[in-house]
Amino acid sequence: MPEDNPDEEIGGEEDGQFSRRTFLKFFLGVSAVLTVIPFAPMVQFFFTKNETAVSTSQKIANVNDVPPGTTHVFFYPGEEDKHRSFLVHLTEEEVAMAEAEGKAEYITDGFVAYNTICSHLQCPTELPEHESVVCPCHGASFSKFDGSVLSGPPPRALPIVTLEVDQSTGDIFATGMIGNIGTGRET
Amino acid sequence: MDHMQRVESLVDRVKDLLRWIDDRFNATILASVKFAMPPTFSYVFSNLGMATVLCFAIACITGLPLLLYYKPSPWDMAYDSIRFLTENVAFGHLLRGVHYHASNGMVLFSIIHAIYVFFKRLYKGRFDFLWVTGVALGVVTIILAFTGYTLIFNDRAVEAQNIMLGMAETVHPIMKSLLAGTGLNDRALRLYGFHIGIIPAIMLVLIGLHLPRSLRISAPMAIGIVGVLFVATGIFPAELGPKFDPKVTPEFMPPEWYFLWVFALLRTWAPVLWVGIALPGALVVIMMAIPWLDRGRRPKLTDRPEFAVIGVTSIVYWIYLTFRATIGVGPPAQQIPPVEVVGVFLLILGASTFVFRLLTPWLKNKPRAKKKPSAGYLPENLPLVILALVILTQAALLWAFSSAFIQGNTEIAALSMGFVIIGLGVAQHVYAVSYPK
Repeated sequence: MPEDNPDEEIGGEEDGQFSRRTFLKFFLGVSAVLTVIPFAPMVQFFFTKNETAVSTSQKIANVNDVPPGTTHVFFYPGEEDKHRSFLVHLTEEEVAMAEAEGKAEYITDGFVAYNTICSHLQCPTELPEHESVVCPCHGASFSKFDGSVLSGPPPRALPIVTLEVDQSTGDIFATGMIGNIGTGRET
Repeated sequence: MDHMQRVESLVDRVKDLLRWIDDRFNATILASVKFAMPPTFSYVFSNLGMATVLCFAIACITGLPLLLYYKPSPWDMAYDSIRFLTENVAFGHLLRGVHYHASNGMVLFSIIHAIYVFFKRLYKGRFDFLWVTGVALGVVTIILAFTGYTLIFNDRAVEAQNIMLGMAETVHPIMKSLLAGTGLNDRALRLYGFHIGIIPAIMLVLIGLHLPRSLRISAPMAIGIVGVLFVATGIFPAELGPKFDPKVTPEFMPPEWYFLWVFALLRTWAPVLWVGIALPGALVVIMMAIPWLDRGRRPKLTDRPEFAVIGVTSIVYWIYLTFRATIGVGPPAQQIPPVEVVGVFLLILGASTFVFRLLTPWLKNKPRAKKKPSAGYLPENLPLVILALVILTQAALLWAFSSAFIQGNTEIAALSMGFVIIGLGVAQHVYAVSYPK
């Protein structure tokens, strides 16, 4: 029976070019592809909108709490571990030293603040000692005065937290950030 | 070399690659699983075990991504994480719904599977062991489903937790501390641990002791079931319910459908230890013993009327209890008179005995239906036409899916996605019955 022969050609094409089965297979393939399509956007399940911390003015300390030569640890702009920042009160000699080195750009009334996540591979750094902030992981060190790279592998300086000091009450406010946490700032 | 030849040599290369991959897969355990497209409507009942395992697999696959959002902490954290998942995460609603309906499917298919095996008497011989592990699997399935819906920490979940813990405590206080530890955080963490780790692990072991040596999975039916789960999600989305507030008396909600029979028995106000623990436990033990209780040699139902009667009575009585449990839930919840429960049981038992006696002569003389279903192949171009229609329908449904998804109408999205998947099942079936090979 020629009707039952699946390889019987249809249409007036060349011999045996398209059989019914070939067509059926093709249709089945199309159907399978159509079925797979709606699963593709399901990748979105794994991604939710990032809750971006709004960088607003935030009181971080009072002048009296941070005597010269000490460091205050605070979190800005949020509360996450990567938001850890140092507020350093420099002594007068240190300010003079920074000015001599040309690193006094971000010092406000003897205070400077920067984020402390190393711009190399995002380890948290040690507290400042002498003139540098040292990262324990791969030997990077940053300037205590403006977070710029002193030695080691990091390509960028630490992000600076800009400060504002209320002269009447002595409250210190963080007002913003220069650079990105973990990847530093353009130097 | 013309264009056609080039295409053909490319096709040959792809075939070689597929053959190579197939060879490698055949060296693994995957060789014991065969996907087939039988050229008939495969006998539905012989696919029920496959359907159950398939639902378990789907529940695992959809459950794993849910782990990324669920927070096993009482009360607010767990509930809020599920609400976030359902409302804010793309496809969260869908995955949760399919996960939920896969659990329902597991319970439903395993019950029908057990009924089929019971009446077909397939538990004799060395299959008695499979029957025992099967009953155990059924129990574990229900426990797994139960722990699942207690994790939501809505009113219903917390009520279910409390009833479970109350029942555990009637057995022995140590059971309660085993299930719930000491305090709320422990309880949330343990239910979670049981649900995602311990019980599935037990389940996998039991599945290993239950599955036959080689599996033939009917691809059209498997894909159809997946589609049905999506459709079910579209029609009956997984509930979120009101958040449990310990300060407020929760609105009472009856348990999931597979617990309604115990719920009905508990509402006779009989002692919890008897109807909540001893009776279900005894039923499990009796069920496991069936291969040894059934000593007959002949497989026909008419030769072992007592088993036919027990089977029918159990099913009808189970259905009665299930529906009876939903009546008079309250508040105030009404008692179900114990006289009614016992009376209806005796009535059903009597009626099924009587009906079976009445039917026995007819069943004995019934001409045996032809066993082998003949493969009816479709004529000429009809399969091509049907497949083309299926593809067009799928394309239209995809359009419906995408517009529903963009508008955030998750129900319609799930529904149309389900029908697209069912379309593939239909296409495979039509392909299988198109022409004899």
